[in-house]
Amino acid sequence: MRISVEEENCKGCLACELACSFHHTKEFSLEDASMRIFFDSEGGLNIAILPTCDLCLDERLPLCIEFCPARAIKLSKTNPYFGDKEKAV
Amino acid sequence: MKTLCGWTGKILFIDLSEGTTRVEPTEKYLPFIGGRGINQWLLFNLLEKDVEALHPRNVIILGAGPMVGTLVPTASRLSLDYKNAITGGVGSGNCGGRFAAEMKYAGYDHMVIIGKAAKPTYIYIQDDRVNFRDASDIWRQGTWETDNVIKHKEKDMSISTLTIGTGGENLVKFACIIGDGGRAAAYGGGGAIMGSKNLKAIAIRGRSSPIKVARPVEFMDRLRKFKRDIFEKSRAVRIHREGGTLGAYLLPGENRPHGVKNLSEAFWSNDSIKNMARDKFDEFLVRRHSCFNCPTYCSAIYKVRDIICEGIQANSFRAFGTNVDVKCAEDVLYAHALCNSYGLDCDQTSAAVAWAIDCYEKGIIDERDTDGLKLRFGDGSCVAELITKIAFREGFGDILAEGVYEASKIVGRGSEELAMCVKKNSIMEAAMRSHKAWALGIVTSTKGTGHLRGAPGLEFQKVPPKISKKSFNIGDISNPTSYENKAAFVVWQERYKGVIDIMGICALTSMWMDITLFVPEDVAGLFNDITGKNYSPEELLNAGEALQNIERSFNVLHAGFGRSDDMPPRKFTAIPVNEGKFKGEKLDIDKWNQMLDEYYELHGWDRVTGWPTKKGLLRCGLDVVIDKLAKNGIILS
Repeated sequence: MRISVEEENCKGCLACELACSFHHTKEFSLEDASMRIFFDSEGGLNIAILPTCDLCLDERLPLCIEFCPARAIKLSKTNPYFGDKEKAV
Repeated sequence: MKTLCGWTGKILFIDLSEGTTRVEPTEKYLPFIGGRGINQWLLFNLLEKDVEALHPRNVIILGAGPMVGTLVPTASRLSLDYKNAITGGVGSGNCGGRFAAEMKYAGYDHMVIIGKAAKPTYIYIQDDRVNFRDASDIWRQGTWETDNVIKHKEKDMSISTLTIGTGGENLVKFACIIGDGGRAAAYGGGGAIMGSKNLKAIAIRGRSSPIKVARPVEFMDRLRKFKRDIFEKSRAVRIHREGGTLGAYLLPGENRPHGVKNLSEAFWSNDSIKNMARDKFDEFLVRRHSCFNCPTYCSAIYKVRDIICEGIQANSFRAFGTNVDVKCAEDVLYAHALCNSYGLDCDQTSAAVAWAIDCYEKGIIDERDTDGLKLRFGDGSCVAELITKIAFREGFGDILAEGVYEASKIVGRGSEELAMCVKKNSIMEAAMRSHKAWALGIVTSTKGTGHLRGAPGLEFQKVPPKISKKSFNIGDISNPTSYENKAAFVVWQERYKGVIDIMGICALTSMWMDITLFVPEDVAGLFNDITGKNYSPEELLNAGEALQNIERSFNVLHAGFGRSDDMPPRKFTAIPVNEGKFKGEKLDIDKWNQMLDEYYELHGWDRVTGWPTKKGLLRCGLDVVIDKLAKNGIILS
């Protein structure tokens, strides 16, 4: 299982990154998150899930999914987003 | 430095003249909590009376409140405070985006910028490193481009920026500061103040200072409950998610008051509105967009005639739609995009343009004044042309760039009668004649005008008496045209808005617009969990009252404002609403004065002068303010 982000639904609020950092450190930052959302110069988004993602195994639901207001994050069986290309794991 | 939860514990001072920096602990300022609270306290204490707004000794103070950087929804707001380039009193802006959070992650609750760089400069802050960079090659670039160029130069697309455009560089008095290429912090000419300091941009990336929370388990539980039971059920959140404030504002058959043709009229027909409904902007939409950590994501990125911009909210619709009577969505969006790119405050720009057109149509000015330009309401291209002239201070634009008040003094010939100003600042608002609390909040606003101080958005929603009693301990406020209880409503709103800005959360998705959202109990609960403090909701509202007193005192000291500056322009008392639901409604000057008496009474201010009193200031613990005013010859009653 992997986290995947539906890029077309993502609004770029970064709540997922905050929730993720809290899962890892019990503090809030963007540095400690396992997911990264980047903005490009045309206003578009690029999304990356880092290998440090542990699917929040100690939580009821991965915190990024729980706190994504746009419901753009899902648990996917195979294809995580990595940059703007899909790659099989 | 002591480890704090919620706060980073540091204030960064940057001197552009000397190229130096220093750090002070936040702790001694904590009675003012943070955000706009500490900003205004610093401003009051740092700035002497004789310093002009565009003098190097004026300061730009940035503040990120204690909630910023945590998961509290919308906690991304940055307060920007300085001496106002138009009024000479309080200058105060606020923007969303990412900057405030990056500031916290870099380790700073506040930043104070003073002095003037010898040449065009941008500051790039990486945690404890403050780099002064040459900005000669980005001077003259638009705000969106500047944001991008800095990110590429510094090779980091996650940098957040505050930038100015042509307007700020040319010291247009109402130039604003733009966050992340598209989020305006307006009111007070912050852009001109940055321009006067040769400061093109402030860029920041924070990696070293995660935000600690005192009671993480309780905090997350409270957050989940708030999100599930309140936020996700809010009607305001749902509407704003669909289309920002446009979604709540432009509805055919709505029959609501607008600000039309330099606020001469207050009704826009359904035919006009239907050309401007939310979906008319969709063809220019790149995607919907969010401020940092905002589950409402009311913003959007648009591309219009090759300009990329963020927006568009009800203000810009009013600015470049109703107030200049333009009925074409593309023209409105283009005017908004130009203002974003030039870094101009849409409200004040609209007021200047609408005033000029009004003067032209009434024969006060003609083509000899306007560099040959024919001005008329409804003409989107003449609006765009005037905006560009203002930004470059070209010809007639050089006069308009001074703001409506000064421009009307320069032009004379009776044009002053058409200038819709209070405290020298323009009003660009709807419903000034019909909604009495709204009007009082705008006219008494410490930053000149604007609806983001005491003007309650809830007045448009007919709050039932039972609820107003329970929520505000105020009697019936359900009738917008009544003056009764409205002073109390405005005073409550001023205090509450103070709390919102102190914390760093967003007014739009708060109790300002939806009575269920961020009630003071929610704010106090979340704040206490984050910081480990034990504030009651009333204590927070008292901090809001102290803030109101500091700003009022700053205005007395620096601009000499008093009761006569809390009076509405004559147009609102003389010309009634022309059509629609509120036809015939206008402001009654006697009732206004009664309302004002009540407003002063509730604040503990002097009814005759409109100044704070010693008793009121002492109640807020502001004895230092009394002393500073006395040193400057202002003796309070």
